[in-house]
Amino acid sequence: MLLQIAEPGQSIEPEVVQRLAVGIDLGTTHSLVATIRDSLPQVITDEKDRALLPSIVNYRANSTPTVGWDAKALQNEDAQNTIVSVKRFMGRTLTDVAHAQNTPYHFVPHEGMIQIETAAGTVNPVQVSADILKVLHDRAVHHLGGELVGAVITVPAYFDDAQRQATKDAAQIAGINVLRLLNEPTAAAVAYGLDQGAEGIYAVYDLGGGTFDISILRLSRGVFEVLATNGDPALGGDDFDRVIFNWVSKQMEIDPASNEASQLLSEVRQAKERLTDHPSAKIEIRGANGALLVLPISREIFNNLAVELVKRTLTPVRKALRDAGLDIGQIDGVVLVGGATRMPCIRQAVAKFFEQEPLTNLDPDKVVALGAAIQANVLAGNRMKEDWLLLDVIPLSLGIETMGGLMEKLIPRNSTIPIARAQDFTTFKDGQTAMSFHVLQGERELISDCRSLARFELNGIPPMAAGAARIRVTFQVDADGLVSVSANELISGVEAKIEVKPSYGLNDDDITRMLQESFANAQADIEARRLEEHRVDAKRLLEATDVALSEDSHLLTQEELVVLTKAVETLREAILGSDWQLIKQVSEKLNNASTDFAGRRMDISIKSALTGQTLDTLAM
Amino acid sequence: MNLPLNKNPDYFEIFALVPKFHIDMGSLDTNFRDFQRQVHPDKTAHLSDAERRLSMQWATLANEAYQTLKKPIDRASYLLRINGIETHSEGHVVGLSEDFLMEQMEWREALQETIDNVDIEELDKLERRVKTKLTGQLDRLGNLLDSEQSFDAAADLVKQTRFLDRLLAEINNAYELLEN
Repeated sequence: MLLQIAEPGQSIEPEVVQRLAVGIDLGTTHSLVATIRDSLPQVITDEKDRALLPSIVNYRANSTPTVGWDAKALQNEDAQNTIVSVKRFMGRTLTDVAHAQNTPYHFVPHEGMIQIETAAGTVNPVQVSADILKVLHDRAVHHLGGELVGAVITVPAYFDDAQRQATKDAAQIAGINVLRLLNEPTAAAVAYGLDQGAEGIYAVYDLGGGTFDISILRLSRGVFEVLATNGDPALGGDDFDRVIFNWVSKQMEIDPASNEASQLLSEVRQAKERLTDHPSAKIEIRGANGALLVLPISREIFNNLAVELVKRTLTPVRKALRDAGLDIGQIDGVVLVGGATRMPCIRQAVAKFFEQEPLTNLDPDKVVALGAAIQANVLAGNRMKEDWLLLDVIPLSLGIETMGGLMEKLIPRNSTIPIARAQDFTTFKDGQTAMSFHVLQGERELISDCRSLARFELNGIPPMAAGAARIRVTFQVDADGLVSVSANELISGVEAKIEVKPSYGLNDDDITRMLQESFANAQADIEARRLEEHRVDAKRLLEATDVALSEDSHLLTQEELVVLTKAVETLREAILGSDWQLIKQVSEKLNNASTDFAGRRMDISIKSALTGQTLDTLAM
Repeated sequence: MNLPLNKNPDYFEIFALVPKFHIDMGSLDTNFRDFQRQVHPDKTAHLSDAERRLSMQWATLANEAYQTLKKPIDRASYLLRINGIETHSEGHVVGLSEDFLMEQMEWREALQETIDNVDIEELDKLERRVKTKLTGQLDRLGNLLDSEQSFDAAADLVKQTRFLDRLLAEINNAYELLEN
């Protein structure tokens, strides 16, 4: 039980209870879950002591999905129902995905996010990811022996808002409280930096199964500050498999759509892995006539095939350096992350580019999950010996559509998050009560070259003469890199209502429906599940309130303390019952009752920050 | 017992700096980090909705303040704003001298030429010239704001530096173009 129930007025010792939290690396080819044990980050393995879970899900009729190694075993015989590399489809439409025709799936023609027809019905990438996350979540709960406070889930630094939101939605469907979406290279920097006590400017070169990121960070006195990030969300180890596959199928005259082809792909992967430590490898497959076909491949041939892909990673590296305003000579170290960085051709290219040998002390497969676990432990509220601060950035500029199909940038890429920007608009017709605008992400001038995030409809503007209203729209990017929008009319003070139409993502109705389907599949009672969810939320709120009261109850007047304590007691009673609506209602009451208290606590923090600075300044 | 905390502190106040153009960048960095250590959303992830919301708002303000004070042109523009003079961020040519505008046109033509001729060396030269000019202007801006307190003259100069800054951004884009 993670919650220590204290008698009203009795303070609890927050550091006594270790709040359970995990870091999850939701990867293109593999996923991992890690936690902190005895102050050290460690990967949680499965019952066969395997750390990696293949990010593969097989869907069969009238059955729960098969995830991981078992699904991988079905990859060849049941290719069209076995979803691999689903991360490439997150927050994407069919037209976005260049390699869709190379996959065995039956895509449903559809404007929004990709949908795939399987034997178990239509699934979307969010559901597939949720099925992977559920396995990792269950593994962690089983290993740790209790409910989780939440998880940090890593995403490629270069993921846009739609891809981030899709990841967060997947976690919600899997029943995981997301403490933070953390950028993969930043997670690696945390694991590396804390482990090695590194100081200086570091480049994290992260080539995963399907995504490439480069982040430049400054590590100094417990601060991890991302200076710039760049990448390619559709470039990874998978693409190296593909170039060998294409070469081999040409050499062996194999039809890429035939049965031998899927057998060939796993042969190709093995050959690629062998070439990491050996100068040559052999590819063997059974032809249609039963004859054994054998083709040798040398590391030199592979390097030649890969040269264009290796080059493609260096363009984002140059951009990131330029955005950070740095020369190669100013980089103190280069950290390699992602299984694909084991390839000698990558190591050589990185060493040559940065004019130094890259650092490989940590397992490139695990370092992201370990960093995420370290951060999850802190975010869950557990005290650590060291105290550090992560300052991350938004990877792509955020803007709105203006006249002529152009994008006006409001928040430039590589701005430190959280960040907000306000823009004023006015009406162009008398009595106009609504207006709409279009939010985009990207670097190009034409909106057609940028990614559409959402269209917003503002309603409830008080009728005025044309040009008289002043509507201030505020775009907020939170610490997860997620965008939200709010608006109010400045003259009347009326808050305009915003209706969001996500261009690729899922709306709240979709998520509710998927949640219900997912519970139906697990044959769990929706009401019971809902009760459990509200109980978990309520316990979290009670715990947060306990922390606040134990630290700062002197900030409350006697009456306020009574009101708050009463609200706490009422909620404690409510969670013992089974009425989720009551729990929700009482939780809201407690939330409202503690709003002023929260404000005063924050004021104290800020005061102490300001006082601390004044002393520093005086001491100088 | 509400604290008498100013809900809209000015950016210099947040980082305990004297509102001047010439500031100690080391103090700005240190005080920014100390401030974020108190308010950053990572510190409140386990707390209530209200505390998380406030934390995001303060961290947002601190980031905005830091970015503004870190960049000399934005810092100058902000100093003018707290002294009641708005300098708009985009392309206001009103009040700029003819000589300055002529020079701008020449430089833009030169930039286009380097792109057309794929001439990185010329681009380097152009970048150096623009940077030298900008450095000189920022020095003058510092004097106008800190010593002479001539805010109107400073506002004109801020407009000019914005032009140069934008030109440097375009030069940056040209590098990207030429290198690919």
